[in-house]
Parts: sequence; C-alpha cells; structure tokens
Amino acid sequence: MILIVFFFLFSVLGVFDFFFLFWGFPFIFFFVFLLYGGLRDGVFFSDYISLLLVFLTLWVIFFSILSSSLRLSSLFIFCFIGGLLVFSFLCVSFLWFFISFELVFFLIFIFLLGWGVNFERIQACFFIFFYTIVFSLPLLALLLQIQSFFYSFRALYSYCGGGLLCVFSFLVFLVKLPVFGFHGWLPKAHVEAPLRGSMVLAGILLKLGGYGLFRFFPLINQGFGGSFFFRYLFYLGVLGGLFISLVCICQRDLKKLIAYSSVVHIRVMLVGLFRFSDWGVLGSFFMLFSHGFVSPLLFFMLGFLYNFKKSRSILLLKGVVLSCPLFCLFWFFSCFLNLGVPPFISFFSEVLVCGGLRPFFWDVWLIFGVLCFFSGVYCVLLYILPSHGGSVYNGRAFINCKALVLSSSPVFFVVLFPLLFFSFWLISLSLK
Amino acid sequence: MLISIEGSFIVEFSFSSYPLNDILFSFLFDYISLLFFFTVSLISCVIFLYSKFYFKGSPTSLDYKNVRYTYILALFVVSIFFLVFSGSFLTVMIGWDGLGLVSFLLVIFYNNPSSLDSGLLTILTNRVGDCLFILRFLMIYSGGWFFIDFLSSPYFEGFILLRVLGCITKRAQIPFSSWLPSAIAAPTPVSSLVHSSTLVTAGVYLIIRFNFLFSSVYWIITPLSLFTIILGGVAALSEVDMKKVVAMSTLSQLGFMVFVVSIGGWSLGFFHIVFHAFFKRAIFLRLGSLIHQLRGGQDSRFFGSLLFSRFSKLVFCSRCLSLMGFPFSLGFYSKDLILGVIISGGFSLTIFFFLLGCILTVAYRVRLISLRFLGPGPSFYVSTEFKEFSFFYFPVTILFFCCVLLGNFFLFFFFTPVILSFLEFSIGLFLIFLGVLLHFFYFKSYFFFNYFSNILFLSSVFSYFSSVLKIVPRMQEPTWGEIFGGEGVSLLVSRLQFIFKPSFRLYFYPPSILVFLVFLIILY
Repeated sequence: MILIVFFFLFSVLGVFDFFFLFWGFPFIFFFVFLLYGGLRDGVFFSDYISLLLVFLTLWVIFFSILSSSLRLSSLFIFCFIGGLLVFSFLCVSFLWFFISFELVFFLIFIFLLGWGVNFERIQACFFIFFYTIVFSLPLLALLLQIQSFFYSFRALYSYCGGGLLCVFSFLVFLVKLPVFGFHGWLPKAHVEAPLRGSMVLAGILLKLGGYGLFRFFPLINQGFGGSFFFRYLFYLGVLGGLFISLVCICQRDLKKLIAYSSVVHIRVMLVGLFRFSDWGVLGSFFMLFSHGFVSPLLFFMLGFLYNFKKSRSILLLKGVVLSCPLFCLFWFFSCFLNLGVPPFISFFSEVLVCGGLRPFFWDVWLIFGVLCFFSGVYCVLLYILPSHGGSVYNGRAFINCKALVLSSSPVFFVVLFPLLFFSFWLISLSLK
Repeated sequence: MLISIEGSFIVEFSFSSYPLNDILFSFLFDYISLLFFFTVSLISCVIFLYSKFYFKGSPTSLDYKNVRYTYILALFVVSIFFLVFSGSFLTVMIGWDGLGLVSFLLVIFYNNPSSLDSGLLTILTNRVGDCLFILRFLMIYSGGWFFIDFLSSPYFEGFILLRVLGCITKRAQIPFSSWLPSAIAAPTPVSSLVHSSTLVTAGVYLIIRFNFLFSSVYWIITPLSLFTIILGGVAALSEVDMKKVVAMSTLSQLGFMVFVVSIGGWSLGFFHIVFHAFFKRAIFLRLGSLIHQLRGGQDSRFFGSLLFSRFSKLVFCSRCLSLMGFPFSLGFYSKDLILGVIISGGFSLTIFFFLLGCILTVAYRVRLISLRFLGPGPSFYVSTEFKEFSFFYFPVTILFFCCVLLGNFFLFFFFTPVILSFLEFSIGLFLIFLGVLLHFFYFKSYFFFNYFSNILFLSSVFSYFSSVLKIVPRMQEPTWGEIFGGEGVSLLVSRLQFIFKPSFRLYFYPPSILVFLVFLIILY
C-alpha cells in the first residue's frame, strides 16, 4: 500500500516535470509486481550489505543535494534516482532489481542531457546508452529463461542451468563496474556530467554492478566458476587495474583522473570478489563502501576548486596551498583516503583483498604489488598537481562554513565505518 | 587487554569478531621502545624550540605557514609514536605509512618546483616500501596468521624477505638511497628530525625489533650495508653542498648500524641509533644557524672561518669529534665496543671493508671541520645583523650536555660490564689517525667528484622516474577497443544525422524510447 502511494506521489509530481515520460512507469511497475509473484516472496528483504548500501545511497544523495542549489526539476529527478536506488538494493526479486537499476541509468542519461547540448555531451550520453542498454540484453534473456523461480534471489541457489548465456548475462554488471575494455563510458560521462551527477555516478551507480555480482554469485559459481572465461576475467581485473592506473597518471583533466581512479578501485574490488574467499568478499565490500564515501568527497572538493580557479586542467592549477591552505588540508585528506592510509577503511579493504588472494599465484601477486604502487603514484599526483609546485598566488580564497562541514563529514564516516561494518557482520553471523 | 611479561607491557585492542579475529591493535612497552621514544620526544621538543628560532630568522616567514608547519611536525611525532610502540603488524603500518606521508609534506613545505621534485622522490620510494608491507599481509595469511606453524611454513622466507626489503626502502640502503640526500630540501629543523632519529632509523628500529626473525636473511643485509657505508663515506668526501655532506654522513652511519645488527650485535646497534640521534641533531642545528648567516647559502666553498659565535663552534666541533669516536665522547662508547666485538671475531674481507668505512667516516668529519673553520676568511655576503638568540642557545645546550654525559650514563646502566682493553682503544685511535691522513691525501679529480656526488648516479636514475611523471605526454586514452565500442557507434550515428537531421538534433531520446518499447514487448 505504501508502495502504491509512493508511486502515485511520483507520478503526480511527474506531471509537473519537464520529462513527463515517466508518467506511465509506476503503473507498469505495479502490474509487473502483481504478475510475477511479488506477493508470494514478499517485496523487501535486507541483510548487512544491502542495508549498508542503502545507508550509503541516502548519504550520497543527501550530500550531493546539499553541495549546491538545484533546480526544482532536477531535484525531482534526484529524489527519484535515490528512491529507485534504495528500492533496487532492498527488493527481493532480481527482476525488480534489474528494472530499477536500468531506470536509474536512464534517468542519469536525462540528467546529462538537461545541462546542454554540445556535441561531447551527446556523445557521452550515447556512450552511456550504448554500453548499458546493449549489454543488459543478455541478462534479460537469462531472466526470461529462469522465470519459473519467481525471481527471488534465494531461488538462484537452486538454479542448475549455466553455459554461455550465463556468462554473457554477467556482462551487464561487468560493464557497470566497469571492467577494463568496457570502461569507455565512465570518464566521458564524468567529464560531461554536472558535479552532482558525477557524485552520484561514482558514489552509488558503480556499486550497483558490485552488488549485482554479489547477488548473482551462485550463478557465477555454477555457470562458469572454473572456466577459461572466469580466469580471463580475473586476470583482466588485475592487469586492467594496472593499465588504468597508468592511464590515470597521464591525464590532463583532474576530473577524468578521479573518474579513472574509481575504475582502479573497482578493479581491486573485483579481484577480491572473484577469489571466492571470505576475506576477499569482505575486503571487496570494504572497498565499495570506502570508495562510496571518498569519491563524492573528491568530486565535491574538485567542484570547489573549479569555482575558485575556473579550471580543471593540471596545467593551470598550481600553488593553491598559498591561496587556500584549509582547502589543501581537506584535499590532502581526501586524496590519501583514496590511497588507503592505515587506520582508515580503504587500507583495511586493501589488506583484506590481499589476504583473500590466498591460494596465490606469483604473477597475480607481482601485478597486485605494482598496481598498489601506481595507485599510490596517481593519488600523490592528484594531491600535488593543484596544490603545490608553483608560486602562482592570485588572492586568498576562503572555504565557507557549509563547505567545511560537508567536506569534513565523509572523513568522519570513513573512520566510523569499519566499526559499523564489523558490528553488522557480527549480527548477521549470530542470526545464521 | 593488558599483558605483562618480564618488565614489558603489551596493551591490545581487538575487534573480536569471528572472521577477523586477527586484527589487533597492540602496543608494546618495554625498555627498547621506551628508550627510543624518550630520545625521539626529547629531540622533537628541542626541534620545536629551535624552529621558533629558525623561522624567525628566515626571510620568507609567513605566520600561517608556521602554524601549518607546527601541525605537520606534531603529526610526525604522533606517527613515530605508533611506529615505536607497535606490537602488531597493523600498528606498524599506521606509523610506517604516516611517517612516509608526513615526511613528504615536510619536504614539499617550501612551495617551489625543486623541493616538489625531491618530495616526489621521497614519497615514491616510501610507497615502494608500503607496497611491500601490504603484500606481506598476503604471506601472513598464506602461512597462517596465528599458528605456531607459521614460523616453519615455506611462506615464512618470503615474508621475511618482503619485510626486509620494505625496511631497506625506508632506511635508505643502497638501491633506494637516493631519496635521503634529496630530502634535505625540507627546512633545516625538519631535515635534522628526519635524518637523525626518526624516519631513517625507523627501518633500522624495525629490524632490531624483529632481529630474531631476520637471521635467515642477514646474508643480504650485510653486503648491502657495507656498500652503503663506503659509498656514503666517499660521497660525503666529495660533496660540495654543506647540507648534503651531512646527509651522506647519515647514509653511511645508517649502513653502520645495520651492519652491526646484521652481525648479531643488535643491542650495540640500538645504542648507536640513540647516540647518533643526539650528535646528528646537534650538527644540523648548528648548520641551520650557519645557513642563516650566509643568507640561505649552502655551498661549502663559501663557508670560511666564521668569526661569529664561538659557542656554537665549540658545540659543532664536539659533535664531529664524537661522531669520529674520539675517546670518551658519546660516539666513542658505541663505536669502540663495536670495533672490539668485530675484531675479536677474526679477520675477513667484511671486517676489512668495515674498517675502511670507519676510516672514511673520520675523514669526512675532518673535512666538515676543516671546511667550516680552517678555510679562507668569511665571504663578503655574510649578514652581520643576524643574531643567535635564546631559542638557539637553549636547545643546543641541552644537546651538548646529552652528548657529553649520556655516553657514561648508558655505559653504566645498560651495557653489561665491558673491559676496554688497550688494544681496542689504540685501534680506535689508529683509525682516527688514518682518517685524518686520508682527508689530506684524498684524490681530488673532477670526474670522481661528480661520480660520487651523485652516489653512483642512483639519484639521477631514481629522479628520472619522478621527473618523467611531470613531463609525461598528457594524452587521451588511445584504445582501439573504444573505436569498435561506444565511440564507433556514436560516429556512425553522427553520420546518420544527415538522414534524420532535424528530429535527431532536437530530441535525442527517440531511440531510447524505441529500446524501451522493445524492452516492454519482451517482458510481456
């Protein structure tokens, strides 16, 4: 009942919206819900991972709305994106999960277009569109194949199919992560998206792929767990991380650098997840959460820098530490949280992923070490390039109080989060 | 959780959840860590006092800059605390990473490109060490984290090797030694803190802490440390920059400590660390005031027999003599004991090289004194209005008394009773004599100078990497995967624009609606 009210509210709001394309969606949702056994399995469920992801979603949406003033229409889109994301993390049926996360990408697509129609923007939109829609079709086919299970995630454990369709259906999550080779849409979308858009994109949307992989884990296990393709994906994860961290070093645009750095983080997460070990999965989720807090912070700080210097190019940004030392303090914090400094969560995630590589091969080990080094290199560059290295002094700039609070709050969360996570983990274990 | 074993205390904070039983934050308090932290805290107190003097004298002092400086320095002491009292692998990591980062911030404190270069060199070399330490966790999990069996597992050797390599990066042993001389771009009080006791000796401290584990890889450490001693000595003899001479001497002293630990005398090595902290600190402090007198110049060719401040001259000379191992100064107690231990073990090639290193040490000390006090008269641009005031005298006096008195104190309270035979005593004196001779007959060729002032071109090789990072062609990502992927399709569509021109430009989303319709049709 609450759900119906919720959808009705949004549909009414949609009338006033510029994009009244969504007008019919809630009703379609409702029929789909009734048709495919939603009443039998229940609608929502939660375990520690989905709860934490919901928390992360709410935080990032809140953060990005607060970070600057929004137009009313984009505020609606934002709330709608947030609602869909929460729904996709909480729903029990993977059909609903699929529909809602595809819709989120569709909304992001509209969000991008609403900010102007230069050619690069249209190209970025096309990139998102092409990558996400095309690669989600095999999963749709898989869903149709196993429809007799009423689409709940629990039913996946008793699924005995597999084969090539199973392999290709994971492409949708891999593209959304994104893995190396399919990551072309991410930097383009980040560069063209407004600040809030890229905060949401890096903060939550990349986590959808990881969440999907985790939920469809039994299918990976049965479908292609020991196959050549799986090993190929694993090595692609490690090597691609190395390549992208090298690409990161070569970037001219700071926003692109941050976007690529998120790709590297996700890559480490993928490696942890694909080891099938307890430590690896735990480490990969640590990585997701830490990245979810840190990367919106980085984008937020970059937005501040852009307002102040009117540029994102590393050729023009120099010596900010002279004009705004407090900004540089927070920039330092965010860069090195990204890097993984010991008492914080991103360090733990690295250690756990590293520990999760337990039946180890020397090559993976070596590549992981080099990847670790180069990720350090680009984080250091990210800090150095704007803040040091020249004495271009054009006036003092001051961070206002709101920006101060906003930029210091994720640091607090990152400190707090391991404790939260441990406690959730304990609770979930005791329930088993 | 508090455990006490034989006069040492372990405080443990553990997250006691099932799969993560192993994540422990434990702190270990015993006489080694307490003594080391006593030294560090005394010395950093001195540095805080001294930096007030230093920044008052410096021409480009800004108020808010000094606040930043003070906070970073305080962070440095905090991370040293974590490193020294660490009782588990995780707590070590906090101190270890923190030291690297904070020292990087201090090195790039002056906002100019050259100090940025050396900062990059510092942090990248430290990052190599951090990576090795992270990879070490892999080994720990492979071998079993809390099994007793861990010590006999085949992964243990790899674990130890990684650990030692990690320590080597931070204590600037030979393949990674180039960051140490370049780290002097920091303000002088900082470089004295970095060089003398904290950062570089952190690696040695860890080796001392884990010396019972490392005995299987001493065959790697010993030649490396010998090489470092000799190379540091020769480089210090041929360097012109005054601050760099001191940095090179630190390098050779580090080799000295590690060598002593690697031949088994870890307690001697530990006390040498503590002593070295005191006298190296005092040398740097004196150097800072001298640099102020020369208005920021560091070139030793301009240093003459400066007529000012006889007091600091006295202090400086006493330090240099103490580092040489002049009888009954601070360095004498550790060095003479080490010499005695080594010579009693019989003669070998290792000992020959070690003695050569000792002679070189004496030679560059004599060079420091002679450059400072025996050269031609003061050069013309010495600033006469510069005065040393109480914030200079107070720290230097503290360190002076430490240098004079502390040796006896340590000898009586910490060492087992040792009889210094006349033979060892005379060997020490003989080495000093040889060193003075070496200084006067040192081969002065230009090529030789150039070769060793670059420490075997190691610094140029390593700084090449960090400079490449700045010049690297900032290019777009060239992937053919994109051309066959999204970019190709978007190109295709832009070609098709000729056909669907008006509608396509205005509304981009007809194709998306189309796909959505298809999607719905498939659903039903």
